[in-house]
Amino acid sequence: MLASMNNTEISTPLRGVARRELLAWMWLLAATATAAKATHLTYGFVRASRAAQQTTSFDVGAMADLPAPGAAPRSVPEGRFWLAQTEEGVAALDGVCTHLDCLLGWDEQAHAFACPCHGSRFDADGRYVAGPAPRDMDRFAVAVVAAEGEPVASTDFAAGKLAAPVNLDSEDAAANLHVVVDISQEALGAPAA
Amino acid sequence: MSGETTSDDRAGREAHGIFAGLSWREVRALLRGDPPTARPNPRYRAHVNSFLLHIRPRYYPAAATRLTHTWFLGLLAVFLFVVELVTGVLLMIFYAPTPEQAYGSLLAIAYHIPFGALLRDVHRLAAEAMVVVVVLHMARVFVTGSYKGPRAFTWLTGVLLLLVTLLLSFSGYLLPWDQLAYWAVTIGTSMAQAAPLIGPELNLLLRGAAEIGADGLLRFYLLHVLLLPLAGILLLAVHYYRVARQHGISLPAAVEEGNLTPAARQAATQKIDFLPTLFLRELVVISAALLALLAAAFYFFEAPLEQHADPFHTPLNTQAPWFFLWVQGLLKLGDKTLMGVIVPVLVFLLLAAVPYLDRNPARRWQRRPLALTLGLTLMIGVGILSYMGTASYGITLPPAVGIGETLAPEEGEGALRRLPYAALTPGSHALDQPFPPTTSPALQSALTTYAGLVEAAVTAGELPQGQAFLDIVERQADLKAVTLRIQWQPPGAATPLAYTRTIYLHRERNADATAQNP
Repeated sequence: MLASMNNTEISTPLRGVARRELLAWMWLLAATATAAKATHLTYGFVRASRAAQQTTSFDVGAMADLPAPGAAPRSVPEGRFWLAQTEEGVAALDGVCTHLDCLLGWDEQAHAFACPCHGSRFDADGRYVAGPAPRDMDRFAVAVVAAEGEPVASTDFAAGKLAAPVNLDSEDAAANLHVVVDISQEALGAPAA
Repeated sequence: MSGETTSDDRAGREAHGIFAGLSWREVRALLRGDPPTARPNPRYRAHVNSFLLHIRPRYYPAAATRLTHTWFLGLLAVFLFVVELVTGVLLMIFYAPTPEQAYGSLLAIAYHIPFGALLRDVHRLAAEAMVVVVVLHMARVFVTGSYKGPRAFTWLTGVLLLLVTLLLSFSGYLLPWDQLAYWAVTIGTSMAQAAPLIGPELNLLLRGAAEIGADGLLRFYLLHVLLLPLAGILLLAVHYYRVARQHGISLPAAVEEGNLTPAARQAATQKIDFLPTLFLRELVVISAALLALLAAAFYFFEAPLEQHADPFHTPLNTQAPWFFLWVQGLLKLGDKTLMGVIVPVLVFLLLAAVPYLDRNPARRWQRRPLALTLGLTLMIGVGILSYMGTASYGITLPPAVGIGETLAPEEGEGALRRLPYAALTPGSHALDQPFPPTTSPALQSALTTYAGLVEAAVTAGELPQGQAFLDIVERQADLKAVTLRIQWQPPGAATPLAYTRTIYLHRERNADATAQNP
């Protein structure tokens, strides 16, 4: 009954692509390409970030002022890292939680790092203990330099050396050696077991 | 038509533009509840003449407008959105989106600009109410089965509107540039970074740099005041067009599917005109909502403002906004890519796909046990996850720090800051000694709370041989330092451990009960 109201299809024999149709397709292609390029340029525009003027090298003082091996790590808030003397040497632990970028705090009683946001925990050497964090705390490059500026020991991330090993002969040496941390060089922590 | 020109007609010509082509007589009749003054009904013509009326249907079926069917939730959501636009534009007059000025402009709005605090309270309260209303609206549509059949795409636009609502709320969080803002958004963008493939780029796009700073604040500001509202308006237009123009508000399932008597069916599908019936009804609802919103903001609600953002310190008890606590709960469960990105995205995809997955044609709830059970399960799951998202779940503070955080939290007020300035009797109060008679009753009550917390920790063996003190020193005129001091002797340790926490309380601060922090 309603059939008479339906649109009647007019069947036309199939031919090759007509000139007009080809031109229409080319227009469409050109418009798509333009839109894609415009999106790409906009993306590049939005993505560009102004280079931040940031200190990357921190002279954190004499070796003698470092926490003793096994003692609580020392916070360097302006660099957002912690200094610790591990068995392998001097290490600079990135204070940013490897989970979601909150800053870790030090829990004196448990002798561990604790994240205030989601409860991840790391031991004094930055090794993963508990919580949702995916890996150990990250580490920054450390160089131990003599008063004249020549390096005595340093980290070497390429070789897997995550701490700067120092053999101290005397208290004098500890007072004269300076620790310099470079936060532009970072080694990611080992995945949590 | 008579050739005479009455004063009514002249007034009518003047009013022609304002009242969408209705004569003055017609407007009066409309407001008095009289029937139309002419045939065909000139009120219908107004829907053609006026843009604003033309987006509203001329009439609705009676049953579709029942309070117990719609609860006016869609209308209320739009109302709150408009409140946000108006208060938002006003707040923009004084707000400056830079890290140097943002917090200061918030203080100025709260304390110096007439009605500034009220405006900000309304903006914040309406934003949170909007999340609630949008979720309730969605729950209503789900329970009444109104998403089925031709309305599937309408539901999809609704899910997108929910997403826009949540993102609007969240992008607004950063703007005060306080601690809550800074760290909530650090976590949020860090979650975006965990997204597979596009994560790092997305994080960079949002923050504008490796860490949130001036660029990130500006980007969130632009999202909040421009991009997301525009997206919201566009989606709302599509959503509304489909509801009002294409499919109409759904009839209650009982009317559509039930065995009604012809008389009952006729009553249910009888036309109700927008002018004047629904127009006046909506006016009443909106007036009541506006009054309730203003009263709530004025008497009961204070938009929180924490301390200035500090990129070098994450406060204890950092917590997501309540409507994202379920995500924070998920994050505590495991891998951030899975829990922070994949699961929430799946939840939204699942919501969007509801009409396409649910092949049950029945709309009445009695015939949809599976769908309703699953819906209820989702709600309960979100509730449980939200509880797991709170700061008290799964994050253990060292006992002494926990006591300090309860009495004098880093962010928020706590028992010590609530004490009146005059009640802070200077001196060193040892908790195991009887209070001297000069101690004010308010301070005694706070000390009793303090002693209770310490005693509980000592009994639990968390603070062996614990001793606690509260030292109050008048540092200068009108400024007192209040120090919590807890000492304990862990077994095997050579020296006792100690915890101290000092807060400074100023006389003026306590005079103004609305101040958030000293």
